[in-house]
Amino acid sequence: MKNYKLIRSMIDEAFSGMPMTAENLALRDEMLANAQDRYEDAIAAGKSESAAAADVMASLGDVRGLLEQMNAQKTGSDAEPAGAQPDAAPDAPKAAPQNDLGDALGKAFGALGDIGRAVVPQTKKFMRDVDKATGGALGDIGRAVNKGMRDAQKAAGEVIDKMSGDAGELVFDFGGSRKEAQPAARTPQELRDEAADLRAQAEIKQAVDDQEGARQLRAKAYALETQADAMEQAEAMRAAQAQAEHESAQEAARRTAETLEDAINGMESGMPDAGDAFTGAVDDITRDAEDAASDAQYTKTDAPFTGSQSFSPAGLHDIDIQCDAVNVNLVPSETGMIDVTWSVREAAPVIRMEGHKLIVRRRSADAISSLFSIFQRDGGEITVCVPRGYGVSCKAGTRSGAIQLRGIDCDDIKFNSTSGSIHIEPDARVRAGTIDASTVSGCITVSACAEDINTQTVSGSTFISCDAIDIEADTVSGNVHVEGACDSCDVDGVSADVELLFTVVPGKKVEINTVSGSARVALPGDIRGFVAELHGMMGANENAIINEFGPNRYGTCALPIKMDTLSGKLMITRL
Amino acid sequence: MDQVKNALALFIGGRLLIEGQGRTFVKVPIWLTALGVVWSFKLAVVTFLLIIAFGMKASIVKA
Repeated sequence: MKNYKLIRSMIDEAFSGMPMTAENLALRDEMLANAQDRYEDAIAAGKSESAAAADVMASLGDVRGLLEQMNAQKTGSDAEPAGAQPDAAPDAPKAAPQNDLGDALGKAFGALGDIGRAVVPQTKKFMRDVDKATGGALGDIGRAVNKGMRDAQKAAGEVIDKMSGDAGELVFDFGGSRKEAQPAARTPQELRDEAADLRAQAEIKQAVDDQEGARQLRAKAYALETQADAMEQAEAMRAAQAQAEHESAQEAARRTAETLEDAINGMESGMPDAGDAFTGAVDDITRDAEDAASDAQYTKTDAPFTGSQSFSPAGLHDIDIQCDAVNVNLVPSETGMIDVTWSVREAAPVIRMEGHKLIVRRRSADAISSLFSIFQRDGGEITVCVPRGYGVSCKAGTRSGAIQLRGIDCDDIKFNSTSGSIHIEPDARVRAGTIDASTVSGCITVSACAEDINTQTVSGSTFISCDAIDIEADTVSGNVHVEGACDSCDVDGVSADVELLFTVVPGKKVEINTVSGSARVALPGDIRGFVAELHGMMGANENAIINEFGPNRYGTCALPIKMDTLSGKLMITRL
Repeated sequence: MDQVKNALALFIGGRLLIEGQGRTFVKVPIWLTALGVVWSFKLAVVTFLLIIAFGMKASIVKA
């Protein structure tokens, strides 16, 4: 058997460095099967194991040269592998571009925003003119409607509280009984059994001289075996981790028992601080129990596809991730390698390095699962550990999965999601490039030292804490909160409330456009000059517009502050 | 009379929140929802059936 392993390693070595296409994998599988048959035949014919292995190796000949020739021919003719199937090989790249619903929706809402930006100023001007022409009657109507809406909302809040018993909402849950309808996860042994069945079918196909069919079945079997290996490895890692946690818990228990014993001894011998020691020991036990409970909750997972893959980070420049319902985490690597681990429900992702670019793609791209994944919340998790010092450009997109980036030094960041939240917190010691985040209903959180920060959302809230040059936030109904320092800040919204808190006076401009949302700008008290232009349909009364700094202070460094709203409240206050 | 007043307050001041397994799908004022139902009853029925089919959670919340 040792000699057979030698043959296997020789074939594996011949294939190392070859592109892992479905054809190459199938060919490798076929060669392994043939070599095994020959080896067993030779043994059956009475040859020794080493002689049989030598015969088989000699019969393989210059496999490497042959393979290189084949692949060169394929590249030259630029031909797509005829028998290649996307599901056959775990690392086979998908050539066809995927239609990203998130991108399409983002573009659609972006176009809507552009129309809004073009139409809203005209509408506001028209409303102001009409208001002026009617001698302020329109403003009175607006104020009355606003007051009526506020009263109705207050009354509705009281009714909801009364009817829901102070729960704050009346709930009609249509999915309570559907939680258990999850597909059963397959175990590694089941996968191996299926692979064995496929291999048996491949033998039958080969017996009837259907080489192509046999090759495809063997490739599928190989993929299943690889998946089973990955699951077993992940299971072993989890078991080792659990064992380590168990040992550390035992150690903690032993220590607390010793502390308790000391405390009891102290009480017996009449030590004055024995009571404190006893209380401390009880606290320790409680804390350990809580930690153990939270760890147990954290490690509980029912995702059927788990695994990990490592790559050398040499020359790493870009990361490109596209997933559906899977949460994406980008965190610093402890090992100095690019480590990608996944624990997902649908199928293991396709991960590959293309030059200096790490690419992660979901496997299933059919329209039905893509549509349904919008409503799927828990699709699993992919964690990409990136070593520090490479200043990578990160691009990630999901439909319902959250995207998180923490502690990595980055150049440009571009994340988009349909309903997933986006959290960007790169290494604060290195100034990042342009940060671009867009969602439809997901929240956006950016805490960064960067050049430009651009966010776009429809109904998600935006929180930006930064030291940046330019900030631009577009929203429809999600609230916007910006705090920190910047040169210029531009916020556009429709019904969003906007709050900008500047610790340092911006150098260029502050501009807020909203239709019905309120806006508040807080500036340091030592601001030298500013030119505030505040426009609201309600007019400059004390309720709608508040300016704590008083009249404009003109000068060469005066900060232009433009705030426009139809029915919202505008405030400039001291920080 | 109180019930009518409560219903009217809910209609004008409440918001309908529909969540798809934990994520917000839509959050709109109830009066706007009613306007949508009047606008296209068929579409409203299909939407309601989809909400049930996908096991979503609908709630009436404060504005």
